[in-house]
Amino acid sequence: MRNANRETRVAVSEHADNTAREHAEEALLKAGALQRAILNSANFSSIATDAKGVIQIFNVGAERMLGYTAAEVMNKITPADISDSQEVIARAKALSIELGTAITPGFDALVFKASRGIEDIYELTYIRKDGSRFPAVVSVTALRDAQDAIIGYLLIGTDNTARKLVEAEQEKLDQRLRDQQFYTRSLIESNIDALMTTDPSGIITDVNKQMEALTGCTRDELIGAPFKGHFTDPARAEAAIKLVLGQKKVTDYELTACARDGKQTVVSYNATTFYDRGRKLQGVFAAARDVTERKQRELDALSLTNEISHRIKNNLQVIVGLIAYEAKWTAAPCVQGYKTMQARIGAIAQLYDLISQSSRGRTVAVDAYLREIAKAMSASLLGNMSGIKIEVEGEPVEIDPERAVPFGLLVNELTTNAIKHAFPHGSGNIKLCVEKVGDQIELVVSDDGVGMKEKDSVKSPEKRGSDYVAIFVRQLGGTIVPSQPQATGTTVRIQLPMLLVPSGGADRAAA
Amino acid sequence: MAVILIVEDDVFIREIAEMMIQDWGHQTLTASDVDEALLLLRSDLPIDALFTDIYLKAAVLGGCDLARQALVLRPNLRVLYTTGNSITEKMKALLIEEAHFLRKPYTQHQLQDSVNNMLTA
Repeated sequence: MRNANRETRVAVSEHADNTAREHAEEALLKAGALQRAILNSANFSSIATDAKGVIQIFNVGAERMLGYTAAEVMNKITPADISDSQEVIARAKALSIELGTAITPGFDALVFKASRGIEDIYELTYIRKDGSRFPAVVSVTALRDAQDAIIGYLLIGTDNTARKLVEAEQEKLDQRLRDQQFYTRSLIESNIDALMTTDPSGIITDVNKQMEALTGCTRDELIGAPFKGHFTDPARAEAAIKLVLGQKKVTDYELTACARDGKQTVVSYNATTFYDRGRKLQGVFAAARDVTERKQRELDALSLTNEISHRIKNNLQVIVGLIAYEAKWTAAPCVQGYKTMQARIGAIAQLYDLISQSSRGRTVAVDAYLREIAKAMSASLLGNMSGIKIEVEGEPVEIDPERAVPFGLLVNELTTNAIKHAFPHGSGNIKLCVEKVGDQIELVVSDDGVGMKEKDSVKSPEKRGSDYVAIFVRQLGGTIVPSQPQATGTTVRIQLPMLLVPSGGADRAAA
Repeated sequence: MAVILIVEDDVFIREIAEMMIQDWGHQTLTASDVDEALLLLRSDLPIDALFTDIYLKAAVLGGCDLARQALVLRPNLRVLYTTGNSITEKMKALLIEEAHFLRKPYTQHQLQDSVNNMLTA
């Protein structure tokens, strides 16, 4: 029984030993398979050396990467011999400083940290058998025996060429981006205008140097501050931003910038909205140009215009005064002639008014000009109580100021003639009309008075008026259209060559 | 009939205007600039209306300034402006409310209408 038990224990013990051995063998098989797999990997170079650095193992990955066969390197050279010598020297120098000990340039430099138990992974340029080079990332591990003594080193390397290319490409892209940003910034900074961007609520997000000079504030002070806060009229400045946001752009919007030291500068703003790639509104881009000199020139020109206008009108007033004085001592039948003369002078004065009202004085709006003449004649010849009314109907055509003088005097003569002779009973209507007819414009002065026959009986005074009409029509290069018989009233049609200025090509003198 | 102060820097225009206004039975006082006019306005002389050119010698808008000061001195004063220049927005802002306006060159009839309108308004 006791023997039987002992046999059983022995059997159990033997069974246990066999199981442990099987496990150990299995583990060894697995570890061996793993090591073989690593050593046979074509993607890693695995180089094992002895303690002195002489290569003992050179796997297929190393053969593939470096171009040597294992036989060509094993027991012959160290990994330092297939590495960039300058890098090895540089590494030795750097490690000597880092670790405070002299490290010999050579294999020691490659494994020194690993030999001290420090994890070491670094970049190294390997040199192939054919002399070509490639960047590698090398991981170094010390191989130790059971007593922890170093028996060699394992250098596992991966070819870093692809990553280096990507990095180089990325660096190129980064440099290109930096160059582009520098170029864009240079353009912004070299602009003579003060430039800025704001967000949609009018808060400044970027400025250039000119904007700093305009406001007397630094870039840091401006960015984050409200746009409106740097102008004499903040409400108008805020309105500018709203206008841009509403209309997507504004041009020639005048504002007066107020610098920190109180200096004011009149600027003209051109601004547009700007968006990100997704078309989402980012804010407003605005360029402000100093228009101080332009404004001064405009003021000088206006001042000169006012001065000239004042002198001309005073001179005309003197002439009208002289006529008035003469009329005072003249027999009643002749007074009307003096009045007519005053009306002619008034027509010329009206023309000066219309021209001076124009910002650039290139053209005169005929319809507005006719209304002014009618108003002046009503006041000078008819008075408030008159039963004669002058009506104006005009298409928006324009004439150059040079032709406006004879044109105005022509209208004045025809209208005066109608006032004097068409309405013996003191009431009626006169109509002044200008319209485009084909390639000409037609001036029509009509009345609903007594007609030509009765007027024809009147002799000399209106003869002068008719002579003037003929002269003015010739001066304008036009023709008088023969009158058709009509039951009542008189209609005078005068066709004139196209005096128009191309539409949109001029500013109207009397809008 | 009224007493009208005429302020005009051009002697001929001023005297012709004076002659016309007197012909209609009014009395006149005259001045050639703002300072002369203010001396009269500060005096005890009766003055019912001011007829002033806007552009007075060196003062581009002298007539506007004069009218404002004149109304401070004589709140019931009637005002008739005249000028040969266009009426700008700046000028409009300086004109006295309810004042009358006559454009140069004006005829005797236009002046008579304007004076009558001013005095009867």
